[in-house]
Order: sequence, then structure tokens, then C-alpha cells
Amino acid sequence: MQIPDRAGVIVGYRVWRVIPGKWVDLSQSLSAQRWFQTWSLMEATVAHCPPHLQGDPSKPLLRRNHPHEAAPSFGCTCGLYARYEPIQEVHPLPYVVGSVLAWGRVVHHMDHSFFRAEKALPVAFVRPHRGGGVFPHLAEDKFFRIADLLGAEVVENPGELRTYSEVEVNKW
Amino acid sequence: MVKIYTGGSEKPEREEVVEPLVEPTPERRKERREAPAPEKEPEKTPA
Repeated sequence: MQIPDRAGVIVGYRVWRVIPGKWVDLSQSLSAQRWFQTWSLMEATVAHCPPHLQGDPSKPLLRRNHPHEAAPSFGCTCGLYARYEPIQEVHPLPYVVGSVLAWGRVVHHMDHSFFRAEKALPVAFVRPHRGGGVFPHLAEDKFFRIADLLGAEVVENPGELRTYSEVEVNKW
Repeated sequence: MVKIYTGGSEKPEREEVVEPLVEPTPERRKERREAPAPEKEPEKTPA
């Protein structure tokens, strides 16, 4: 059991990728931007530490019982990444920009303006733009179903995202 | 316990444990949105 340093949650901002189409179930359709790490649509996503990410040679190679027990930690790159500030760049579908509430173990990288958290729940998205990605209509359809299942707000720009998320973080 | 990192090339600066009293879930967020706002006490007017 972890002894909390403080109560509450923190807010972060990040980019996801929507997996379009019927061939991937809705529950598996919100993914990390750069590799296939599915985010839960029913509850908080919990970080785990795959052995190949472990940078600390003193760590065991495989934790069979509690794979996320120490994620994230100093000696690793694992965890759920988010930035402290809203992402201003426009990301066309299948990418979507949004915000999370994060909690649990949190490793802060202030110099690089991001943190890695143990648990996170998406709470809002910036309305995505159709771009050059494949199947933009299917991705858009999936996106709105994902947002609905998460109960996430869809806002129009990064400023609104910040305003909404900062109110939301104070409720917990 | 808040830890301060002292070594390594990729430098995380601080580690902490943050825990809400109740963990947010989509369902709990929805419940809170739909719950009626607490009634405000009527302002007392001076006699």
C-alpha cells in the first residue's frame, strides 16, 4: 500500500490515437499515440511496466503478480504520460487531443513539462479535425462513441480544454 | 514519501503519491454531474 503525500488528483494533457472501424472493438479503440497501448473506457487506465522498458538492471525482469506495482518509477520510462500544459498543435484524426485526471504514483519531469502517472482517466477532448489519416469518417464515429462512453466533454479548443479540466480536477 | 532524484541521465525531478478520496470513474463523474446542486441557505437579512 502506498501512503499518499497529498489528497486529490492532478490534471494533464496528451494525445491519443483512435483506432477506426468495426474490426477493432470499441473498448480497444483508444490507444496511446505512438504504440499500441489501449486506454480503458470504463475506468482509470493503470500503468504497467513491461520488462523491455525497465531501465534499472536491479529490477526483476518480470513481476508476475503485480506488474504495475512500481510503475512509474525513477529508473524507468513506464507510466501514463501527460503534459502540464494543453497541447496547442492541431492533430488531425485519427489523433485526438485531450485531458486526463491522474493519480497514484506520479513522477514529475518539470524540465520537460510532463509527468508519468500510475493511473489516469480521460475527461475531455478537443473536437478533432478530419485530416489526411485513413478512414477519417470511421475514426470520427469511433471518437464520439469513445467520448460518450467515457462521459468526456468535447470542447472546441485548448483554452476551453484547460478551463473545463481545471474545474474538473478540483472536484476530486 | 516525496523522493528527489539524484542521478541518471534522464532526470525525473520528483516523485509523489497523490490519491483522491474516491477514484474518478466515468460512472462517478456522471453521477456527480447529474446530482442536484446543494441548496444554498437563504441569506439572512438584518432585522
